[in-house]
Amino acid sequence: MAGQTNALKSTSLTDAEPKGIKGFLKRCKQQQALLWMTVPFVIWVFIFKYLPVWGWSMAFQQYKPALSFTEQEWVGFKHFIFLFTDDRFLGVLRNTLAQSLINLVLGFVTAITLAVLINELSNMKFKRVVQTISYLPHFLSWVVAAALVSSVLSIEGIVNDTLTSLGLIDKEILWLGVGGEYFWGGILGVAETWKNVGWNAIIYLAAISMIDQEQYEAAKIDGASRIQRILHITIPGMKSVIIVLLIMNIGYILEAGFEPQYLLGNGQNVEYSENIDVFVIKYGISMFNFSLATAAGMFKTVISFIFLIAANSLSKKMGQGGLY
Amino acid sequence: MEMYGPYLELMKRDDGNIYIIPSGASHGFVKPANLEQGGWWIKRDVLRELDYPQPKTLDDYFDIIEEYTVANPQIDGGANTIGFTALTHDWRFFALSNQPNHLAGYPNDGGVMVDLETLDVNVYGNKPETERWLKKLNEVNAAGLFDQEAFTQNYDEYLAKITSGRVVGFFDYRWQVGQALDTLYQDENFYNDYMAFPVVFEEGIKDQYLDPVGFAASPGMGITAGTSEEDQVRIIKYLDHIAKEETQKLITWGGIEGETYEVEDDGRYYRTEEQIVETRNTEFRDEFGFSYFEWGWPRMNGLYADGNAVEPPKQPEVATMMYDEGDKEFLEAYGIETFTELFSEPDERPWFPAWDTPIETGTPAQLYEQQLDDLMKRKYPEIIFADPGEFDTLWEAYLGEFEGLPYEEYEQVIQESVERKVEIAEKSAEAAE
Repeated sequence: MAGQTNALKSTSLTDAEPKGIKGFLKRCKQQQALLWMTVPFVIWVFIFKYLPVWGWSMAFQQYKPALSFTEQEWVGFKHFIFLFTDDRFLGVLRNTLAQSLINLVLGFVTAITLAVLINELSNMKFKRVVQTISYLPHFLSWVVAAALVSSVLSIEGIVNDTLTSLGLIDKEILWLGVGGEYFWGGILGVAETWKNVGWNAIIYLAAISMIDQEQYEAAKIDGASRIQRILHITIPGMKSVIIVLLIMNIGYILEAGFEPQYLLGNGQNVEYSENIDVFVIKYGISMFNFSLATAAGMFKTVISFIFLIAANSLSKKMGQGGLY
Repeated sequence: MEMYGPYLELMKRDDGNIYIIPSGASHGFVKPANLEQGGWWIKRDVLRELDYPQPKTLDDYFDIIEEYTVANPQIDGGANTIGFTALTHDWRFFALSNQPNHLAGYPNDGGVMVDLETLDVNVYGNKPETERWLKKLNEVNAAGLFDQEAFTQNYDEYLAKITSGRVVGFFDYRWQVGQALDTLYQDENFYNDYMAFPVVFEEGIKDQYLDPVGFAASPGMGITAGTSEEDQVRIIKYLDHIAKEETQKLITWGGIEGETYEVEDDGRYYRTEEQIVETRNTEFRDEFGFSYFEWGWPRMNGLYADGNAVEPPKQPEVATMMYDEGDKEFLEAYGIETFTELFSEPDERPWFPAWDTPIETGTPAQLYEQQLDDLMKRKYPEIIFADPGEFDTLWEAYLGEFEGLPYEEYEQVIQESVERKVEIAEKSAEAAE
């Protein structure tokens, strides 16, 4: 324990240390307790995150599970060529990006709004009820959630009932059967939001609770209205959390999700519902073509990497600080 | 191993080894008393109201549906009547795409038609039969008889819809819609049950809805090579024991004479009325062990060496006693003894089922299957829901895309398998002589 506190103290003194290899070794010695503490995590990351990268070799083979590595047939970029020359893949890519962007924007706006609104509630009981109800759907399996969505959207569902009785539409519409861009936001975006908004709001609520209460009191005394306090204290106070989450989510831009698209997709809306993950299941895994699935996964990782770095440096340039 | 005797050659893959022990083997054709395969179902209530018509062609069938639906836009005073619904969810899409084959008088050979004489294998997704089927559906849709949710509902929703009694007719295989039909059968009202007909394109086509005696090698068991040799031997011994006729009789007939079945002087098995009731009861089945071993593989079907049916409900002596009052009313109205009497006997097709052909991973034939599935799921709804005036344009567009698929490679793979199976069958027939 004593060694640890020593090490912690000494880290703040590193500025004055000599440079070069000698200085590096010296610093290592000073911080050895910390270094030892990181060892298990480095090993964990290595085993679970770096070793599997070896599996990428499958993307360049005609992989057969029963054969050993040396017996595999090497096919070069065949699977990548299949991916990028398939007409459908471009459409699939477009769907993935569109679904993901809409989810990103909707997800952020709604979760932040909900967090701010919940924070403004003064009735504790009501606050808790709202919070509980809003995050409950997060725990539903997508299989159940998709069944709910499809029954709400069916011809005799509540959406059609409401719209026809209000006179907004003359004839019931089979919402899941109408292919179109609206599937991205209108069905998928809304469903994702309904399912996750409460859960996503939790982290923002935590961020809000870190804001110094004195700021609010001072603003009140200066005559700031409620809206002004939200705009000038609450939101800026959440900024760092928002940016960290934004950068991380941009890294996941090609992960538009799999279950909702798979479960809500059908022949009639396939041109708008099918995304990379669904495509990979159909043409990769369910055809035992693991190589193709790996190639698609690799492609996704590379794109994610580019987006992550771009978002991070952009945020640094804008003076907001990055993830690293 | 006697049970698999006639099929040993068929179980072997190209390299001469057996990798999978199939789940069962057929010995002889027995016409079941109740349909177990595909058929064009119509609600009994409809049949009764229209004075028991018997649809023979596709046009007859939809005329019945139209006549009833127009006269009864609502069923049970609330829900709208659905003329014709279809099961299209996920891998079950074949319940909508197999029809051209059936309507033209072919059995459920999957996505190909196999000529009885020349053994020529042809895909039919681009043939006039498919065009004719889709055109009919397009007309049916224009007449307001086609379920608008047919392509968005999942399997559960489809079953629920049929159980609700709102559907006038549908095409499906009995084993696939069983849950819904059993539920309807078990309630008091026997007019909400469905009855199936062997519908074809035109009179004169011999229907082939009943499966010919066939042998599917793919569903079955493999023993992992990781099992110790000693255990492997024990597993094989167990399977061998189950496969004995003696054991099979114990599983299907219950094995206790005087309790679960009776024997006539001439060796025929039958069940008394009490035995039928008792052996149908789920609790008794659990307690006695029927439920436990019933679908434990391996499982024989067809006839035992002594001529008795493997499954009691297929023994005519038992089957006729199993019909209830409602069944009898309809059997009488149509002048038949069993519900399958309307269906033709299957022709001999030693290659059946063609869909059982193993398709190698990474081949164009495998790609074809997936691409065709996608193409049909995308285009069929478009074609069916289109304005009848646009049908030809859409059909041409679909055909254009179909021609781009590697279907010839697929045909070739199936062709080879069919020829191989026929050859084996001929050889073993010669050997028997």
